Amino acid sequence: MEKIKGLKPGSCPYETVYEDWLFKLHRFRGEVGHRTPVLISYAFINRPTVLDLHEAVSVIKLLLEARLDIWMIDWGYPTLADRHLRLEDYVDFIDDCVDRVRRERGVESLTLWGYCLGTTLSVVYSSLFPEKVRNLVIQTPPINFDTQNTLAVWARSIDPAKVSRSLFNASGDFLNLSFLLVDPVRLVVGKYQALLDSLEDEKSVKDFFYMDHWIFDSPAVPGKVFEEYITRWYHRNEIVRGEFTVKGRRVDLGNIRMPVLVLAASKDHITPPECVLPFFEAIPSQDKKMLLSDKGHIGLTVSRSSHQKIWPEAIRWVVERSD
Amino acid sequence: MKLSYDEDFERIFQEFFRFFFRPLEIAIQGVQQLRFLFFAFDLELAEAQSETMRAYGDFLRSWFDHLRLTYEMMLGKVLPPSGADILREFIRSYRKKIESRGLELGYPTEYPFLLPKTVLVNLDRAVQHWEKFSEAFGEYKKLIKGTYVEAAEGFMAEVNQRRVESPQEFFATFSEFEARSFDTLLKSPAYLEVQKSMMENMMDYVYFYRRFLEEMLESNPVSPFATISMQDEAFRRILDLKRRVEELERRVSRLEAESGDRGKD
Repeated sequence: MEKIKGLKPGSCPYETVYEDWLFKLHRFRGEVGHRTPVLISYAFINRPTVLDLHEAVSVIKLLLEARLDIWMIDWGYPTLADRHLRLEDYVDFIDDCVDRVRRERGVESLTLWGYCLGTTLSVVYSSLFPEKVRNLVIQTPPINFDTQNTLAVWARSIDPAKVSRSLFNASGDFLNLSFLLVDPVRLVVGKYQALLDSLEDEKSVKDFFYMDHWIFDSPAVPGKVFEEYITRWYHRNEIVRGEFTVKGRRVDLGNIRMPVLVLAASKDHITPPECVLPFFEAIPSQDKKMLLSDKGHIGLTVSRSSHQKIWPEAIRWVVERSD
Repeated sequence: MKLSYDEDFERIFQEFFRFFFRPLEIAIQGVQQLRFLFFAFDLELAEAQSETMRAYGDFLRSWFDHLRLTYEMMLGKVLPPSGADILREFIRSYRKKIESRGLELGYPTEYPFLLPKTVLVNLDRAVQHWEKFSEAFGEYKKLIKGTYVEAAEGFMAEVNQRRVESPQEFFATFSEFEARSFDTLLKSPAYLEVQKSMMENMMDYVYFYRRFLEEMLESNPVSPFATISMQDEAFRRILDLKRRVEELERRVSRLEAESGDRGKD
């Protein structure tokens, strides 16, 4: 226990520059050397600290070292008071943040970087406001929900309205258990056995607890958002079918003409590459690229091998399109 | 040494199941998770909850009488004497009415201090969903156990034919057999059906049981508390208002921008 005392994810300093009840906009401190800022829209289902887990595997640190101006949306920890939020509120907040960053930096457009379910929101936003998005980066993206991974099969077989009606919000514990139980032997039993096997190795123990701290630091998903995201995305696959609307405006993937970088992982059991392939093939962008890691959903972000192979190339791609 | 499915494998299964295969109960009653983790509670204890629920009918009948008596005893302590007197007088006159007019009153349960019919309907529905949940949970455990045993037997057949070099190899082989079997089970139609039934009945149980408790409070004019459903409705209205304000702000901004553009012309 002494080895992990005080251990907590997050190493890069930032300031909170804007708040709207639950949602916040952070700006990381660093020297800026490129014209186009980067706005990260993280998944509302977890905390964004996985991008800055610790110094050795911090994606944020790499972005700052590349002298990019990094802003990040924090979707917060929803409570009962937030149960009636809707997906359109999330898209509205992205728009607020985009406008603020554009005004602050005096630019017409920025790089929008989505992570997991933040990707889905980013794609929706980029389709509705393509003029404000210079580059789109999507990491482990769920856009096509008609896949055969266990999580998707389960999501298609539940009635989210019953969860929302009884629990109000889909609590972090509820969601976490669902994520772990899609592969219980490997993700739970195997994981803790591996910890026991490596108790003598301080680095491994610390890596384990950085990750475990992040995994169990799970916000709830507001009840109505949970209903929408399970029904409209998993049950009906509305985005890929061209049926998803926000305040009456249809999300048209034909508007995704900006440069697009896709970061996917071949062993991802939450959002396997099939979650993005139909999107990648359908969009008319002439400048699109996919980097495929041999890791899983989280390993793409935090594994040391990804930091050697994937991230330098991904950041180079962004930097080349930021002046 | 030849391995066979014995009490050690059975004990592994009980641990396995107790820790990791009870998502709904654990998610909803987070405390249970801690209890199961730190103390060697017999799983049978938790499963006996369904029996407890069946005993609710008897419990409620006596609780009803108990509440009425306690209420009368407590009135003087929670209310000023004048308020208590008013309430006592109300109860006395109400009782008198009932005694004098019998069933002519029509539907007396709609009166304050008596519970509306929906309270008990909600409780009844909660109990029904709990019973369905218990049924599905039994099926769920059978499926998990069947898969576990099948994988364990496959594992034993494998290791009985060759030498296992280390405990790590033993564990890794066992885990892989189990993991592969569960990969198949978790997507099977039988599992999905049971999981759906468990989840939906558990959620309905939570909802109706909460509504039962809430309606008791809501139908009590002395209660100073807003129920969670009342708060939820208030939050919904506040959020709707916020959206309207934001939409108006956007319209004003657009109008200002347009009038600014016209000024330039």
